[in-house]
Amino acid sequence: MMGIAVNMLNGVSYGMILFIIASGLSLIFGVMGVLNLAHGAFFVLGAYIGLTLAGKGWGFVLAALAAGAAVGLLGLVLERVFLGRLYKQVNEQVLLTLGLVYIYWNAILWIWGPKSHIGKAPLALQGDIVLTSFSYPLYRLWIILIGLAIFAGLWFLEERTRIGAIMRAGMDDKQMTTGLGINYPLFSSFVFFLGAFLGGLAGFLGTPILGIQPGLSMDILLIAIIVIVVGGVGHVAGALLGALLIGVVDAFGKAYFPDFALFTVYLAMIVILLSKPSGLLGRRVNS
Amino acid sequence: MEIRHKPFTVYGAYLLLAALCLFLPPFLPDYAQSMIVKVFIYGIFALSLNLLFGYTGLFSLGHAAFFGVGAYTAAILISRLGIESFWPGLAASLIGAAICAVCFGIVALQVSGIYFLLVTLAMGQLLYSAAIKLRSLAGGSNGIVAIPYPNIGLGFTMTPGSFYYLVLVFFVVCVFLLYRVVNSPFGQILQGIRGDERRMRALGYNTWRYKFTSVIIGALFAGVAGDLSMYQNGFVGPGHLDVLTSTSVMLMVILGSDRVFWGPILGAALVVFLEYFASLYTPERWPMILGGAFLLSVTFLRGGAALHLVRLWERLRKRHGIA
Amino acid sequence: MESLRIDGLRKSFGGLNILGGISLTVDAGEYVAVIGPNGAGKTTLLNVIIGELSADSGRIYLFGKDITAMPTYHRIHAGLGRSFQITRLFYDLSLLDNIALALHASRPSRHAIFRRAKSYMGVVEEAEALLRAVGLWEKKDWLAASVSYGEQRKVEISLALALKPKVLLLDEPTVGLAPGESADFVAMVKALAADTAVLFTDHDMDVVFSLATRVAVLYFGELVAEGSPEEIQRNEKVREIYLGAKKNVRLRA
Repeated sequence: MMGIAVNMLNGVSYGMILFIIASGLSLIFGVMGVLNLAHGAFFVLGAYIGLTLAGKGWGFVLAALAAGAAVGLLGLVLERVFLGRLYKQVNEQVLLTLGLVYIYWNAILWIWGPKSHIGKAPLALQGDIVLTSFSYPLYRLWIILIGLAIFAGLWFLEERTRIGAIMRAGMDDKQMTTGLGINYPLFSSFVFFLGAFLGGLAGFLGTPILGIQPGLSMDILLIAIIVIVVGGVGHVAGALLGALLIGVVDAFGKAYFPDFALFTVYLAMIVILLSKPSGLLGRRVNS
Repeated sequence: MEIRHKPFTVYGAYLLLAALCLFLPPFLPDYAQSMIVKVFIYGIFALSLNLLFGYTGLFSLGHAAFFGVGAYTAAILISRLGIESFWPGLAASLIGAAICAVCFGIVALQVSGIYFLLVTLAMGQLLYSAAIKLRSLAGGSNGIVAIPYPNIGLGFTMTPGSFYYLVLVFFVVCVFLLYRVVNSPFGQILQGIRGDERRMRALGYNTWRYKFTSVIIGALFAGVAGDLSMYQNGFVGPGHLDVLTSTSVMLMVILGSDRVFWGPILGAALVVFLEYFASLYTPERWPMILGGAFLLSVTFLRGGAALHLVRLWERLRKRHGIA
Repeated sequence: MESLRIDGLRKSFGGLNILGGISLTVDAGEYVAVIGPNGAGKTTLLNVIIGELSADSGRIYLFGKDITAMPTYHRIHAGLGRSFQITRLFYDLSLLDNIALALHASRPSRHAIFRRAKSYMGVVEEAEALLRAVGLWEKKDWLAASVSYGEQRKVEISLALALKPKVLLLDEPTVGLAPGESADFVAMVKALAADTAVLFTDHDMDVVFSLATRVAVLYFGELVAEGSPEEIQRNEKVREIYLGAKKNVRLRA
């Protein structure tokens, strides 16, 4: 019984990290129609930047937000300088982000070296808390709460704000949006900033749980893709559902079938793609 | 663009190239020879991907699967089954790649566009994780090592020099075959599908069948490249199947050009030479250089290097009236 | 001889009823025009007949054979052909290659994987002849993307005609054509094989009345009138649909 509870909590807390990065990926993909292959690198960058800042004495929360913002800015630059030139050319955009992965990955390796690191939870959240019959890391519980808070914030943005309405309408068409009096460049920049911010934030928040090393750039990207494929693009709830599902499957898989965990996750993705390409909770994707 | 018989100068260029490939290598240092071999092998690999991408419009990020399966099946034959001859190994590569292609085709062609990309990505990674898991059969994360040069059964031991000529022969044969395929009605039909699949169906074409066939043909050639690559490196590992290999070959195709037949070969050459120069000065920064070159190409040199070369050549021809 | 028969075709999208039980017959040699205001369902009707959309209910018969369940490419081989309202060409290919693709589709050469496409002289000659018929032979090696809109439209029609279909569906074929070109188009269609059945939609009433042997009027998914061009012109209901309640206006001279 305890084993199940622990695995469940492990899965959900891991899933929350996945949710935060996947929500960023889903935002950029679902709204702008761009599959940002460099998103994994955003995750890793956020982690390293945050760790560096924390190492310099910045507080945990400040480091997290600063790391997210730095990565968000990077996403913004990416969108302005490169992706803007390739308006509506999906293949080229994907290829561009592909090239960027190589650059970011190598740059990260260059600046921070190949060693892996484990982040430290903030002092207040270190240590274990006693839950009924077992003890469990406090930080992981907090991640679950933070994840839910981010979900609530994104949900509010999506459902109750004007920007959210534009996002839901799938308005990636410059002429259509400007024709409605919406500032398209601002909208597009906002989406990219937010998406990248979430990626970087997830990276730093995940360091105590996942650790960090440069190779994670690709690995976490693939998992994030699986999450949004399974959960569906277009609703932030889809990213949450997909993330929790993958997180739990991974946790239980690792515990009971250590050899097959990753295998089954990829298989699940293929099955979903073939039966309902838009994912469990997904909407039509702009592609 | 006009269709005319190839001008004298183009034939001249081909002859020069052929002469260089045939007679120069014995005078080159080993590393240069092996670089050219690499260009041949990756040239075949990139051409095979372009059959799917540039001609049929199938954006796949799992093409390394065929390459890797080609390498692995031959390696398994040699190291686990003790069959050391080159030809059964090649046959195994082709069969393995074909089986893989059938699976890929049946599954991935159910969807299109970005979803096709994701499925091929997933399938490639599936094979990658399988390769790591199958420790006894495929050597796990270490792969299969210590593979000797091929024994083609003509009674002599192969050296790097003779291996070069073996690869050259395969290169010429593969390029010739692929050239005929893309210039055949089949090749035109593939381009039609890339252009407007719905229109093709309205003309009476069973487009699925053509896409499926192009996947298989592309896989066969990728398998050949994988087989040869295994001999050149002396080993095969999960990296052969990795998403990074799939993306690298895609990079070659785009850099060289997906719109010109020999573009992928140029792309392969560019990447191989760039990598060599990077290894001389900043080996650790190589991926960044590759990514940077790629970025510049996609942003400023749209269509690829070969396309721009062709256009330049056309302009020069018109201006100076060269035949 | 009945070439095409549709029986009670229904199609709805979401909750919207686009086609509400359409039945129509086209005999060999007939030119049937389907007219109606925008949004009446004309293109949907053609899309269903060609197989790109599946009907919710109803049957489609080609020469008496039920093709309702057949995929599009199969229907083409059974004798159907269509042109698109919005020009769909292969813009990366030359005009000649565009037509050649249409020609290869019905020949064994569509399985050829090794012989050069340019060496199929029969196909090349026929493609050139088709281009000559629309006055585009000089531009046969031009990329489809580089010719004018009107010329692209002509190639679009030629693609459909190249199939030598027994039943030809034309979706607003004269859209974007100059009046002289429209007349050329009418002549082209009239020059088709005598037993070809044509079902077409158009907004240009001159074209409709000079080409059609029968006219059907589609109004919000229902066939509200059918008859000879003269009958339709005099039909009260049709006038109402097109002209509001003005009963004194003639549809055309």
